Amino acid sequence: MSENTASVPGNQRPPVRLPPSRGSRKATMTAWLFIAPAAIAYAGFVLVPLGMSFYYSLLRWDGIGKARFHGLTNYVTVLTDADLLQIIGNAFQLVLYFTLIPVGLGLAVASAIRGHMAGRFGTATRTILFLPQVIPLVAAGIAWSWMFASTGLVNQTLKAVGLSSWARGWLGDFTWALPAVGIIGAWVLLGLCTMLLVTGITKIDASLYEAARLDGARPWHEFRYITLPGLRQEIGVCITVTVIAALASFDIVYISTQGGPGITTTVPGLEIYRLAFAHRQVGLASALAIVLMVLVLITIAPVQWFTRDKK
Amino acid sequence: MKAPTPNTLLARGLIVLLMALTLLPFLSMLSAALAPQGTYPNGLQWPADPQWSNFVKAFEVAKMDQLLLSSALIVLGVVPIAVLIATMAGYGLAKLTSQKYKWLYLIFVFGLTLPFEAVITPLYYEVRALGLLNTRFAIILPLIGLYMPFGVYWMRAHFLSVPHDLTEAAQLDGATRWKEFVLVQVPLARPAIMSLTILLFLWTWNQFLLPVVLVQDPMQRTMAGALGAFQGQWGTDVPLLCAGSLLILLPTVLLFLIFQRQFVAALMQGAVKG
Amino acid sequence: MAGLTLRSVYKNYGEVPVIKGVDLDIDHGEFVVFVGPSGCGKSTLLRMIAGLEDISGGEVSIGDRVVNDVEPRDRGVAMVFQSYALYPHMSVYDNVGFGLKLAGTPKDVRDKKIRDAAKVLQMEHLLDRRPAQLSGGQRQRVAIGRAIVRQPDVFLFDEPLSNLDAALRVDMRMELSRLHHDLNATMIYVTHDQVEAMTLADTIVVLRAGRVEQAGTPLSLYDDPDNLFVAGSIRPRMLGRPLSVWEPAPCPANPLTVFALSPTARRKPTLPLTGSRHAMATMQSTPPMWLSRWAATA
Repeated sequence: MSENTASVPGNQRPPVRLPPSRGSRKATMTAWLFIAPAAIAYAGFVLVPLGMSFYYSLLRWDGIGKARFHGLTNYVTVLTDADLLQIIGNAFQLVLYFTLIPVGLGLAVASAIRGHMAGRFGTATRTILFLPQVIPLVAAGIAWSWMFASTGLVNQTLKAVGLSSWARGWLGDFTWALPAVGIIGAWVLLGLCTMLLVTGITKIDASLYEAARLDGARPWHEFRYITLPGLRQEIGVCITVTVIAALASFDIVYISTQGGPGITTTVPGLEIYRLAFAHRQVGLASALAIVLMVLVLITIAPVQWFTRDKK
Repeated sequence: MKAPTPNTLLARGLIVLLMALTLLPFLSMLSAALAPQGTYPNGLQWPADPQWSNFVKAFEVAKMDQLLLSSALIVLGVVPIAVLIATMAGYGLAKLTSQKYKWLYLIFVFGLTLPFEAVITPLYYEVRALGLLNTRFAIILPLIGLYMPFGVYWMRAHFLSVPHDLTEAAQLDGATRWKEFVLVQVPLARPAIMSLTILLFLWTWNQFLLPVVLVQDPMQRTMAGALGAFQGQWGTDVPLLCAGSLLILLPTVLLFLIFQRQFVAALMQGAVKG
Repeated sequence: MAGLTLRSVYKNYGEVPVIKGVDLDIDHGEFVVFVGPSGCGKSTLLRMIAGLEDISGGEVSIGDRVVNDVEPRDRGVAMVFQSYALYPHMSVYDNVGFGLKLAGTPKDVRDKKIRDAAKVLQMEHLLDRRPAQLSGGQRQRVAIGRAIVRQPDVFLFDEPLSNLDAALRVDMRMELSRLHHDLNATMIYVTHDQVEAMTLADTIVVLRAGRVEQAGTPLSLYDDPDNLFVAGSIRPRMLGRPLSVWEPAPCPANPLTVFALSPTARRKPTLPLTGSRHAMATMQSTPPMWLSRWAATA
C-alpha cells in the first residue's frame, strides 16, 4: 500500500488544517447511496435478528405454537440455573487454554528469536504455523478427536514413554474432556499468535535492548520492561482474537465431544443451538444468546482499553 | 545477519517443536487414512500396505465433486457482493461523510465482536419466512450481512489512509463520485480488497454453524458443513473419516500454499484490525 | 476565458469563522497571489473558489456565473496541489489525460492534447512512467500538465512549489511565469513565500485572519504598505537593505521587530522586478544567477 501512495509525499502541512466541509444535501445523498447496500445487508441479517433475539428472549415460545410474554424470567434462569452457569463457566475455562497457551508460547518464541525470520526457514515456518488457520475448525476437531482417541497418537506417545496409566479416552473423560478441547483451540490459534508476536517484536528498536543491557538489565528485565510494553498492541490483538474464539466456540466442540460427557464440555454456542432447535426453548436460547453477546463485549472491552496504543 | 547465538538456537528449536506439533495431527490423520478400511488403526503408524484407495472411496462416498461445486457456488454468491458493498460503504464512510455520521460507523463496528450464535436462532426463522430454508441462499444472504462489520471496518481503514487530495483532484478533473470510486479509489485499494477477498473466502468456505442450522441437505452446504454430516454418517470408520477430512481440507490448503504470502499477510492484518 | 469576482465571502467551520468577508475582483488573465501566514485562510479561500469547500456566505462568480452551488467539476477550474495529488496507479500519460477522458474527449484529440502539454512542459520522455518513478520536480510538471490540458478558465495553485528544493523552485517559478504568459489564463496562486509572491504576481493579496489586509501590485504593496503586517509579509528579510538584498541576510526571528527597529527602515529599496510579465522580461535579459541567490536567502 505504501508504494501506491508514494507519489504523495508526507508533506509538512500543519496538522491544524480543518477537514473539508461540503455538507450539501446532494453530497449527503451520494454518501447514503454508497453506504446503503452494506447498511441494508447488515440491518437485515444482523441488526434485525439481534433485535428479534432480544424480543424472543422475553418470550416463552417453543418455536411453533403461541408465544407467551415471559418478562425477564429467561434471564433469571440463565443467571441462576446451575447447568447454564456451568456452561458459561466452561467457556471461560476454555479461555484459559485458547488464550494463555498461544500467547505464552508465542511470547517465549518471540523473545527468544527477537528478529526476522528471513529466508526459507522463515517462509516454511510461516506456512506451517498458519495451516491451522486455513483449514475448517471442523477438520481440526476431527483430526484431534483421532489424536485423543483411545488408540490415538496421544495415548500411543504416553505408552511409549511408560505412562500407560495416564492413557485414556480423553474426550470421553469427565475431568479431561474440557482441557482436551482447550488444547484443540490452542493448537488452532498458536501459529497466528506466534507469528503476530514475532512480527511485533521486530518493530521494537533493537537499541533499546542494548541500552538496557548497558544499564545492567537481566534477560528477565529486558522481557519485563522492553518486550512486554513494546508488544502491548500485539498481545492485545492475540488476547482479543483468542478470547472471542473461546467464548463463541461452537465448531470444535460440536465435532469433537458434542458437549459431553454430561455437559462438561458444553459451551454457550452449542447450548443455544441445542435449546433452540432440539429442546424448542427459543426464549431461553435467545436469552443465553444475548448474555453471550454481552459477556464477549465486557470481556473484550478492558483488553482493548489496556492495550490500545495510547498517544 | 549475525551468527546464531545459543539464544537463537533455542528459539529455532522452539519453533521447530511448534511446527512439529502443528503438523502431527495432519500426519496422524494421514496414517489413519491409509489403514485398511474397517480396521481400527493405531496412532501414528505407517501402515504396511497403504490403502490409497481410501481417498477414492471417500471422494465417492462424500460426493466430493458436488461438494466442491456447492462450496464454490456459495463462495461466489457471498464474496464478490460482500467485498463490493463493503468497499462502497467503506469509501462512503471514509470520504463522503463528516464527523456527524460517526455513529453510523460505530453501529457497523459494534458487530465486530458479535458471535454468530447470538443471531442464529432468529436467522433461522427469518430465512424460513423468506422461504429460503435448505437452499444455498440461506447461507449466502446472512453471511453477506454478517461480514459487513469487518468488511466495512477494513475498507474504511484503508480509504482513510488515501490522501484526500486525490479525491479533490479527481473532482476537479471532472469525476463524479461514482467515477472517482471506480477509476481512482478501487484501483488504489487493490491490496486491501485482495486481503478482504482472501479472508472472506476462507471464512465462507470454512463456515460451519450456518450450514448446520439452516441447510439440511449436505449437498447444499459448504465443505465444512458437509464434513459435519460426513462425520455423523461415517464417524465410526476412522480410515474413511480421516481420508474424507483430508480431502475436504485439501482445497483451501492448496490455495494457501499457492498464495502463501497473500494469505499470511491477510490473516495477520485481519487479526490486527479485527 | 473569465475573470473572477468574490463578494463578501464568508466561511465558518461550525461556529468558527475562517473567512470573514472577502471582496475581490480578478481580471481575466491576471496572476493573483494570496500571501499570509499559515492559518490566515488563504488556502481555504482558494479551495472555496475551486468548490472543494462550501461557501457559508457571499458569492463567488467565475465569468458572469455565480458558482456557489456548482460542483467543482463544472466550474471550469483546474488546480495544482501542494502534494501534487497524482493518481499513483496511472501512468503520467493517463494522469494528464484523466480529465479529458472523463469529459469524453475522443481518443485522438486527447492524445494530441496530452502530447502538446508534455511538450510544453518538456516531459515527453516521462509519459509512460508512474508517479512513483518521478522526482519531485517531475511530479510537479505532471501536476501542471494535468491542469493545462483541460484548458480551464482559471488555474488554482495551492503552494505548488513548497515541496521542492530551492534550486528547483526557482526553475519552476520561471516556468510558471512563462506558462502564464503563453496561456494567457487567469491564475490564482497561494503561497507563504514572499519571493514567489513578488516574482510571480500581477496582484498580491495579503490575507490575515480571514480578511484581506491589502491588495495591489507587488510594487505598490512594497512601496506603500498600509501597515506593518503587510510590510512584514512582503519584505521581511530585506527590510532596509537596498541592493544588498541579494546577499544572504541574517534571518531575524521576528521580521516585524527588525522592521520597527531598523534605522534604515524608511529608506525605499529599489526592487528590480514585479509581476510575472516584468519577471519574464527581467529573466530573459538577466542570467538567472541572481534569482537563485535570492531564493537561497528566502
